[in-house]
Amino acid sequence: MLSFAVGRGLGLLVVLFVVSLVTFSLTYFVPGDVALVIAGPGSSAKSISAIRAKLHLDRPFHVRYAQWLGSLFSGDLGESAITKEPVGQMVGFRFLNTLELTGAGLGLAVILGMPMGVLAAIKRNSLLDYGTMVLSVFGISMPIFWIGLMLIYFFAVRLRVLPVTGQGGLRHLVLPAVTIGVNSVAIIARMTRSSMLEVLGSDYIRTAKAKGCSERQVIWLHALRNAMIPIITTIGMQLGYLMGGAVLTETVFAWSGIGRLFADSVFRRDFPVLQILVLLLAAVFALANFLVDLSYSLFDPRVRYD
Amino acid sequence: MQKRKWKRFARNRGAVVGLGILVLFLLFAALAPVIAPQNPNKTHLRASLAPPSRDALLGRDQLGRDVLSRIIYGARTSFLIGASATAAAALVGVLLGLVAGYHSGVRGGIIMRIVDIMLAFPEFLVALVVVGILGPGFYNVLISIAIVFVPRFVRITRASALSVRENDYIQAAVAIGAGNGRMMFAHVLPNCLAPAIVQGTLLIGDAILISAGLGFLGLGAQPPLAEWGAMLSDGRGYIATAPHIATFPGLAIMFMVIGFNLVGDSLRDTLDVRLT
Repeated sequence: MLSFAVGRGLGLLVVLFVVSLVTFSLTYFVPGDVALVIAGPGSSAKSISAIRAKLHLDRPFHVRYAQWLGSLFSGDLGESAITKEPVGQMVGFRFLNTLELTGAGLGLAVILGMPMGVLAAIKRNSLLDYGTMVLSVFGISMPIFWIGLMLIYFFAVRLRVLPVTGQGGLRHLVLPAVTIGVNSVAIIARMTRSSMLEVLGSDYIRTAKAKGCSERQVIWLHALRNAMIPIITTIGMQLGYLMGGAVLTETVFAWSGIGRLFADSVFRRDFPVLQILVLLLAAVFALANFLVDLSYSLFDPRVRYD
Repeated sequence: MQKRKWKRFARNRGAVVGLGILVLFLLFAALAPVIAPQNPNKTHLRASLAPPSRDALLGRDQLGRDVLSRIIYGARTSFLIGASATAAAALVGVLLGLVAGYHSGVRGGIIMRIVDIMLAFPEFLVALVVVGILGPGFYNVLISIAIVFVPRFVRITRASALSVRENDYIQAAVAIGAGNGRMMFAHVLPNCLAPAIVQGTLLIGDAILISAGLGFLGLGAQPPLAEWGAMLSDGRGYIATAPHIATFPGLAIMFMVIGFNLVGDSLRDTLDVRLT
């Protein structure tokens, strides 16, 4: 177990290193001269080359990469190419806001999606099963920014029960969380259903029923626990998916998070900010995958890591 | 597809509904100039934001353009981007996957490490960065989605190539002296295609969602080209006064994606493919 964790941890570092190299090269080879952008139109060649020297844009690739990496480790995340704000300051609170949003969305998806999938599986081919599956096809096919706009229209404009945009408190969280979570509810419900169906047909379930376990015990203890591994994998994958969804959800609801910062940085070609965001997201996904891998042994003691 | 499989496919209600939806949208896209009741780009500033009526069945947008006509023309944009991006990714991805599966040594290892890293990132964010670098527009959206989908095809084709390689008929082909090229393209490739076809069908739906998302952010096909995501973005500002502008393009996206998902799901069941 420990050697597995250490091995995977080292693997994580390698992935992060490669990602840092790729993100750095992106900004190195990207068309368009940063110095020109900063200097603004109509500035003299001299001031442009001064900016170039100040930002070390005249140095070779490996030197600039090493400098960049070195300053990251010393805690200096650089400053925005546009607003000159320190990147650490820009990202910090927004990251927490995005965690709040995606966490709520994922929580909703698990709380709704898993029971839906289990019920559909045990009542296979019933109206409930068909209903759940039809709903889930709609769920995975709806563009999430459209879900957001429709929710705003019904609950904020027509019924006036929830605020349109902004942050603060549970009332502001409801619509964005539902918006970002709907796709994942559907995906988790589908995965839970198919994984449960596979397990419910197995011999040990018949044995459990034969030895007199109650229906409820068989389903929620024996079957669900054994069906968990693909479900956990799916839930882990949703985390990355939700980060993508955060860009659109935060745009619709004017939610101040890293998703919107990501899109804004792309628009403004603010590469110092974009680099840090990509690295941060890579670290989050790598960590999530790692935790998912570790959790397998929790649900299936047969999984060993040596 | 054999007759038996076709029958199984056609008996599936989801498949028939999905295929029906896709045929309908395909007709929209192909015959847009004939079907569309009005010129999609003609502005009518006096009728700006007009709700659905006899004059414009789904209402008019902020410039007074006919929403229905723009949705019909927008089907072209979505179909073209979704299908061609997926096809391009399939072409590159299946070839790389075949190589990675057939030569599972160093070459395969390098391909798979790159694929793993690419798959570690959410597709929408990668597409967003690529479009951010290339700049907005129809072709750049197409390229970015194609890039994002390549690893999916690599992984699934490699998996099937690895298992196909173990079959007796491959041994037989080796025995009669088939070369590497002949082995890969004449013997392994045809037996790896089913999963790639299923994956491709499902991915077209994803491609449409991604391109609509990029369009919504203002990075998609640029005006005056009708694009569903951009139409929704226009409607966002008028959600309180003219909700029809955002409602109908969203429904169009949803139904087109449902079509691809239903057909893809039924193909998966019919061809008995497992997607990982």
